[in-house]
Amino acid sequence: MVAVMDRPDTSSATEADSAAEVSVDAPSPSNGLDAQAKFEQYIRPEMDILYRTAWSLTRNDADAQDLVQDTLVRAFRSLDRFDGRYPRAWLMTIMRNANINRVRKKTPDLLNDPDLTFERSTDFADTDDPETLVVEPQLDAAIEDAFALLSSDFRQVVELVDLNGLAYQEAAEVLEVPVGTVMSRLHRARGRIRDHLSTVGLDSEVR
Amino acid sequence: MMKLLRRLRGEMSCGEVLEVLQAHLDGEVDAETARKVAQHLDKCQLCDHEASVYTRIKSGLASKRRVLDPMILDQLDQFADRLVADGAPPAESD
Repeated sequence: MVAVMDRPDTSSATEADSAAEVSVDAPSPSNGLDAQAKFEQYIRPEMDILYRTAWSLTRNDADAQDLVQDTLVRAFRSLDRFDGRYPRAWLMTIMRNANINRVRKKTPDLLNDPDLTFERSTDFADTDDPETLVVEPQLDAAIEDAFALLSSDFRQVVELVDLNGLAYQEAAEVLEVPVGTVMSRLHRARGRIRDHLSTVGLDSEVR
Repeated sequence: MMKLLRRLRGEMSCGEVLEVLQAHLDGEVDAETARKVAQHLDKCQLCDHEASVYTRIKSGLASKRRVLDPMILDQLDQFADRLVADGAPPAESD
């Protein structure tokens, strides 16, 4: 019933790693037009999402930039073996492996960063409705509070999907967990946020 | 009786809809399921409200998306340009 079924589930298999990563001895793609064209087609459009995801994994700009660059190099080397299907998921697998290599098995300090604290949104000035002006910031604040109360596993998945815009399969690649785990954590996480809205009496204010 | 009629018409129950509602809002269900969920939401106020709440939660979270530093994005683009022009450096053993 869920469409993720028609995507390749490479999240739990090490074959994804071998498909995504080229061996040390493998020749890098030539500098010819083919590699350039593939780079422009499959990799260049993903720069923003690569950077967002790298930031989620590293929590700072310098490390995120290094991780993206490492991912770009690894992806470029593997381009001749990439079949063109699901480029973002392919890149996420490469980034995950690059990050594992980068931190040398140090557990990434995902989401335990004060920087992630939401800025209170105040941009509701585009409405003149007094009720909206009051309720919308309250809703945002309540969502923020509930997000902060989630366990790190839950926050991590919410950040990857809702803040960074990854699909379930792509988040599964980054986290190296089955796509069902992404789905279950995400849905339970949002369920808790929803419960919090109910507890503070704001769910009925959603129009 | 209603349940039977619904099944005969191929319609989803509230329970079935709520089970896939978040995946539906994430665009992660197949076209047929999406059609059935949309059909149910048109008729069922309670489920439609649930959909609105989860949509609001998603938009509330998405609005907190990090603003990317344009200078870093520019540097990454330049790095990509050099990579494409010069090729990947030799791989280190890792």
